[in-house]
Amino acid sequence: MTQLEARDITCGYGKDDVVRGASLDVNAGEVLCLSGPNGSGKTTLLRALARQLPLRSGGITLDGTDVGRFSPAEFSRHVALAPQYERRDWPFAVEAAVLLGRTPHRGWLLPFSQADHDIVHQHLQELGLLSLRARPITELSGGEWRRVILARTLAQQSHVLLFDEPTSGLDLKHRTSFLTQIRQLANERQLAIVFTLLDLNEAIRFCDRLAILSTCRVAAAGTPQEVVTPELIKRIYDVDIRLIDDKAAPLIVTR
Amino acid sequence: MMRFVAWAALVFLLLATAVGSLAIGNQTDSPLTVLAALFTPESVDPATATIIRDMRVPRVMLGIIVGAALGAAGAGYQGLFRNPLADPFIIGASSGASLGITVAVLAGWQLTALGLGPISLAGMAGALLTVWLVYAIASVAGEVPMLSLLLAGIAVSSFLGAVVAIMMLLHDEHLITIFSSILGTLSGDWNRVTVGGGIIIPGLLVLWSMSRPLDVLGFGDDAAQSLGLSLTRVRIALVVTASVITAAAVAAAGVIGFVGLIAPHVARMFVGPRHHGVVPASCLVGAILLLISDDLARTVFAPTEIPVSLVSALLGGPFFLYLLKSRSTRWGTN
Repeated sequence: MTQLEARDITCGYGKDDVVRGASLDVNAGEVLCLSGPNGSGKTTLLRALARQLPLRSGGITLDGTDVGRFSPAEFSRHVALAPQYERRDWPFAVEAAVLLGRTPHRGWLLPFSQADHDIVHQHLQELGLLSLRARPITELSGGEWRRVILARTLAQQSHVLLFDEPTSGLDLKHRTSFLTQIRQLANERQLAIVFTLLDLNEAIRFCDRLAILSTCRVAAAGTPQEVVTPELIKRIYDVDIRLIDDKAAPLIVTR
Repeated sequence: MMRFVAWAALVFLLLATAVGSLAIGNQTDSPLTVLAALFTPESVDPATATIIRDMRVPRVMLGIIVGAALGAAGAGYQGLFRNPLADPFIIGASSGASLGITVAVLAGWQLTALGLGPISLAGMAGALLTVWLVYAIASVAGEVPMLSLLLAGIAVSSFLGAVVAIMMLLHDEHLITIFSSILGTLSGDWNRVTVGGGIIIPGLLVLWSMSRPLDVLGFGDDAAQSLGLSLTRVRIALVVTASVITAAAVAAAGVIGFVGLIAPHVARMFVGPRHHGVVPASCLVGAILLLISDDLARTVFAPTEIPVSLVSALLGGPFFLYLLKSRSTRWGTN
């Protein structure tokens, strides 16, 4: 049972704490969404979960083991992070870029196998990238490049997937199909998935649990229905909303 | 298929350049004479065979090894610094190596029985100390931002260059020795070839083994970490390898600029951007470029031979400016 758990963690850059005393956990088969106003610490918290930022206090465990005990390569087979922004210094073909997602399984020297190519092919197909497979990544649009990053992260086949604003820059079709896909992955392959999302309506529809960050802290956490109330939104965003009862999930409309 | 043609073309170009370089000299021979001198020396005039086999072959071998070293080190530095303008000089490796060599020459170490040994070791120590210094200056709160690394490299390079110049002026009795060992030239004997090659060839293999980390670094630090790279470890391994290769090249043939800058760009045009191709292709292109530069250095003002580093700078300077104008803007916005 994969479980990533952060207890009371504090971290940040320079002198300032960006996340203070945050606790959360995500289990296999579960999708957790981090939302909150700009600058509330979503990305920082996600980076801390990916072990990319030193903790100032608190601890993070994976299946009960402190994450500091894993080697970098080992950790990358368990936990994958898709950052929101990535460089593309070299004009790799789309397929070659996604293939590099298999690095954690092959190390520095082992050649990629047919199985690796099959996995890459599958994820290219799922993200609608097959027709772009030979294109240099430096020539892709912003949204297409985002999809390549997502495909590469999925090809990593870790049990815990962390996505920073995975749908930013994606059009309606691709954002819906991506969120549907990771929802499915969580269910079918029992992956634990955490993503940050500004759009609360999308968050409500696709996650099991929602944590709202506000001024460096987890202000509220629970099922979307529990968390998203006009009172809480007013308190955190200073925006008046009303909820429309859709069959699947409530829908937020601003007044 | 395309890739095969590109590799075949590079190998053919290198062989052709090598044969051409063996033919060119005070007395220019035909390529057929060169091949005959190489494979059936008894069929050629003995004097010609000696000139080709004992004088030109070591020179061409040195050119190939040093050119390969500079090209691969350039590919390594460009990948590490994510900067198309990086080469062994930006990080300070070359100026550090030349300082180490200057100190070795002034201390009289060049006269030992080991021949090139102590000088190349001093060069290596100079290169690594410089790179360590650049790293120490550039690191901020445990991290080493790429921009500050580049700036620190340029600053330390200029500083060490000035120190070397002052040492040369203060010891003008050694001026010629230092000048000739720092200002690049390929004239040399088998000793330089074997000592340089003994360090450079294993170094190239180690650098080649880091092709995949170099690829992954191109996605940025966060992605590289997410793909299981230990950034500090990879960076140190790359810097040490590329610096040792550079120092060995400087010790064997002096400071030769711009080959390390140009070779990776040409290599990418031939074999694409992935480093398991770029690193060996940069070796081939670097060797070809250096041989051609050396041919020009030997022939343009013949019988006067000018330092090959001046030719490579004359060819490389405009290329550097071209890169600066055409690519850096796009690189910057990525």
